[in-house]
Amino acid sequence: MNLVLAALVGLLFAAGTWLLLGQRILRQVIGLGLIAHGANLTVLLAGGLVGRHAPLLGNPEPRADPLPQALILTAIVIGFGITAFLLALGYRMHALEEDEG
Amino acid sequence: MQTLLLGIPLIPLLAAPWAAASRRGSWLVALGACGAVLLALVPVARWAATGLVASAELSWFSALGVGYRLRADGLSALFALLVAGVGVLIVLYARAYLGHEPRAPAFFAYLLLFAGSMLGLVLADDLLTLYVFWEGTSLASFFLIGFHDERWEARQASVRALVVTVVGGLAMLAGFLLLGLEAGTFRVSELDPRTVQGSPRYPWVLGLVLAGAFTKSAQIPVHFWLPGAMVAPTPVSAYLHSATMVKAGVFLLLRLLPVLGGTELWRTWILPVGLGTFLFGAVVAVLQDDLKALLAYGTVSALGLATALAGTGTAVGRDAAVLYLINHAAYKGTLFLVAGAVEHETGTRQIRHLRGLARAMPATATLAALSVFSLAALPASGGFVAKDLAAKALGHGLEGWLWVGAVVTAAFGARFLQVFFGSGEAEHRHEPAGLWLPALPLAVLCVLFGTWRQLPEAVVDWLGAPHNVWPKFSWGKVAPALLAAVGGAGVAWFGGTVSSRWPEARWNGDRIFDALQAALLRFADALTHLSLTGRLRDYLVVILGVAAVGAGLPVLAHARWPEVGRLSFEAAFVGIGVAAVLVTVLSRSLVAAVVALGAVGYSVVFLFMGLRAPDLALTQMLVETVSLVLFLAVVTRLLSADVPDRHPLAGLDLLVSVAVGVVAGALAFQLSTGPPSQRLAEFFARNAKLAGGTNLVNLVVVDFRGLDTLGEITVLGIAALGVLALARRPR
Repeated sequence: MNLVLAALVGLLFAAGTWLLLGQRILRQVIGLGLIAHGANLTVLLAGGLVGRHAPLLGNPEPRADPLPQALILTAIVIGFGITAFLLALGYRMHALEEDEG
Repeated sequence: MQTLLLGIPLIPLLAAPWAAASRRGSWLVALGACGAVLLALVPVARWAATGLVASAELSWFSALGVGYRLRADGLSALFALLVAGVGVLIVLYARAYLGHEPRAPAFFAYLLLFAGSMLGLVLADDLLTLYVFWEGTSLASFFLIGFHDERWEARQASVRALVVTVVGGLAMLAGFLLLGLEAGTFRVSELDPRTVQGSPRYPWVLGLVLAGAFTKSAQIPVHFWLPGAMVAPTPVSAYLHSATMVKAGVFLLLRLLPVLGGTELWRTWILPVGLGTFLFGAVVAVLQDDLKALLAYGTVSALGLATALAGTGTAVGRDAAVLYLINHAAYKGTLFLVAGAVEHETGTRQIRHLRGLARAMPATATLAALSVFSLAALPASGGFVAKDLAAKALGHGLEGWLWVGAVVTAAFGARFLQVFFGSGEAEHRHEPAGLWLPALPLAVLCVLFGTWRQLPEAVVDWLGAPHNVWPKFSWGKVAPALLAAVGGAGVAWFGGTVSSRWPEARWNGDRIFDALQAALLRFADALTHLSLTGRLRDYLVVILGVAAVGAGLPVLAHARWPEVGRLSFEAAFVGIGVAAVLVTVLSRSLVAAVVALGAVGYSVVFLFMGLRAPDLALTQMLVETVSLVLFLAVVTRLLSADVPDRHPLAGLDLLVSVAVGVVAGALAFQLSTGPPSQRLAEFFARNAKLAGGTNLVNLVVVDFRGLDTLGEITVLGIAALGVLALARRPR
C-alpha cells in the first residue's frame, strides 16, 4: 500500500510541477493544488500507516498517530487560503488586462 | 618598560580620533603623538643599543597561542625611530603644505592611523599581530592616496594600491599560518629555522611570504601601484611611499631572514627580482618628466636594491640593506619634500616647465643638492657608505649591476636638479620656511652618515655583529663613483630629450589592472544576467531542479527496494486519483482541468478516510467543495485568457517535472518505511484529560498547538482581506 501511495505522491508532484512551470495562472493554481495534495499525503505516510483505528480516545489500540493529521489539517486550511487568494489575484490581473486592452 | 613598549603603537592610534575631532589643532595633536612616541622610544632604543631586548605581551587568542606581542631588538628599534622621527618632520611640513585645507583633520587622523600601524608592524613579535598592523598600513595608505577623492585618478589609484597590497597581504597571511603551524609557534623570535627549512612546505611558506613582501615593496611586475600612488598629497608620498611603508616588505625579509633565509631558494627567488627592479626602476625614472613620478620610480629602484641585499641572505647583506634603507629615507624623503615645495610654489611638477629655481628658492635648492649627492653615492655622503657596503654584500659576481645602476641613479638625480639650474623665469617665488625647514634634518642626516663615522657604525652595531663598515677612501673606490655621477649627468641630458618624445606605454601595469577590473565587472554582470532573468518560471526551474537533485541523491543512495505488500480498498481511490491527475495535465479545456482537480481532491478525501483520518476527510471535503465553487466562478470569466502557450523549453520543463515527481515519490516511500516514533502520540493520549476531549487531532489543533492555530487563523484572515480587495472591480 505504501508503494502505491508513494507512486501517487510522485505523480501529484510531477503533474503539479509541470503545470506550475507553464504560463497560465489558473493552471498554475491547479498545479499548486496538486502539489499540496502530494505534500499532505507525504506527511501522512511519514507518520507510518500503523494505525488500525482513528485517533479517538475511545478507540482501541493501535490508533493512528494524531500529530501528522493535525499538521495536515493546518496545511489543508492554509492551502485553501492560498488558493482563494491566487484565484482573486488571477481574476484581478485579467480584469486589468481587459481594461488596458 | 613593558607597558611602555605595548603603548607605543597605541599612542598614535588613540590620538587619531582626537585629531579627526579637533579643527585647527589637528596638526598639534599629530605632532604631540609622534613626539610622544619618539620620547617613549628613547629608553627602548637605549636598551637595544646595549644589546638588550625589551619585550612585552598581552594575551589575545590564548587558545591559539596568539598574542599582542611586541619586541624591540636593534632592527625594530631602528625602524621605529625612523617612523616616529620622519613622522614629526612630515607633520610639520604637512601643516605648511596643506594650508587652509578644510579636511586637514581627516588627513592628520589617517596619518596617525598609519604611524600607529607601522610602529606595530616593526615592533611585532607575533606573526598575526604583524599581519594585522601590516593591513592597517595598507588601509591608511588607501585613505591617504585617495585623499582628493573628488578626482577619479585618486580613487582609482587608491583602489589599485589597496588591491595589490591586500592580495599580497592575504598570500602572506596564508604563509604565516603555514609557518606558524610548521614551527609550532607564532612567536617570531621563537621560530626554529631548522624545523622550518627542513619541512617540505618550506617553498610554500617562502613563496607566500615573498608575495606579501614584493607587493608591499613594489617589486616588478607589481610595482605599478607605487607610481600611481603619487596622486596623494606630497607629505604622504614622502612619508608612506618612500620613507617608511614601502620598506615594510624589505623589513619583513630582514625580520624573517634568520628563519627563512640562508638557503639557495632564498637567493634564487629574491636576488633576480630585486636586481631587476633596481635597474628597471632607475631606467624608467630617467625618462620621467614629472618630478614625483621620477622620484617614485627612483623609490622602486631603491627598494629593488634593498630587496636584493636582503636576498643575499648574509649578515653583511642585512646590514647593507638597513644602512641603505635609512639613507634612502633621508635623501628620498628630502627630495619629495623639495618636489612638494616646488609644486606648491610654481603650480607644476613638469621638469620641462621648470628652470632656474635656485635663485628664488636657494635653501630648497641646497637641500636638493645635498640629497642628490647622497642619491648619486658621491664621496662624503651617506649614499657612498651605503653603496660601498652594498658592493661588499653583493660580492664580485654581482657588483657590476650595482655600478650600472649607480650611473642610471645618478642620471635621474641630475634630471631632478635640472629644475634649479639654467636661466628661467625667476619670478616672485617664495620659499616659506615651513616647506624647507622640516626637510633640513633629513638632509643633514645625508651628510652626517657620510662624514661622521660613528653613525653608520652604530647602526650596524645595533643590528648585532659589529664590523667595519667605514669605507677606506681610495681612488679605486672614489673614481667609479665620480665617473658614475658624470656619466649620469650625460644620461640625464639624453633622458630629457627622450622623455619629451616618449610614447605612453600601451601595456603598463595600471592598464592591465584596469582591464582585469573591467573584465571582472563584466563577468559579474554576465553572471547576474544569467542567474537573474526576471522570469518567475526560470527561478522555479532552478529551485525545483536543485531540490530534486539535492533531495534525490541521498534518497536514491539509501533506497530500500520496495515490496508491494498488501493492497487494500484504498487502491481503488488511488486509481481514480491518477486518472484525475492525468486529466488536469492533458485536458485542453480549463473547466475539465478544474473539475479534475476536484476529483483528485475527493479521491484524497476517501484515502484519508481509509487511512483512519476522519477529521482530515471532513475538512478536505469542505475545502474541496468551496474551492471548486471558487474556481468555477473565476474560470467562467477567464476562459478567454487560457490560450495554450507552452514555453519553448517544454523539454526542460518535462525533465524537471519528472525528476521532481520521481524524487518526491521515492522520498515519500522512504519516509513511510522507517519505524515511526510514537512518543508524541503517547504524550497526547496521556494528557488528553487535561485538555478535556477525546478527539486527539482536535485536541492537538485547538489545545496542544493552539498558538499555531491562532497564527493560521491570522493568515486566513489576511488572505480573506486580500481576496476582498482584489475581487472588487477596479474603477
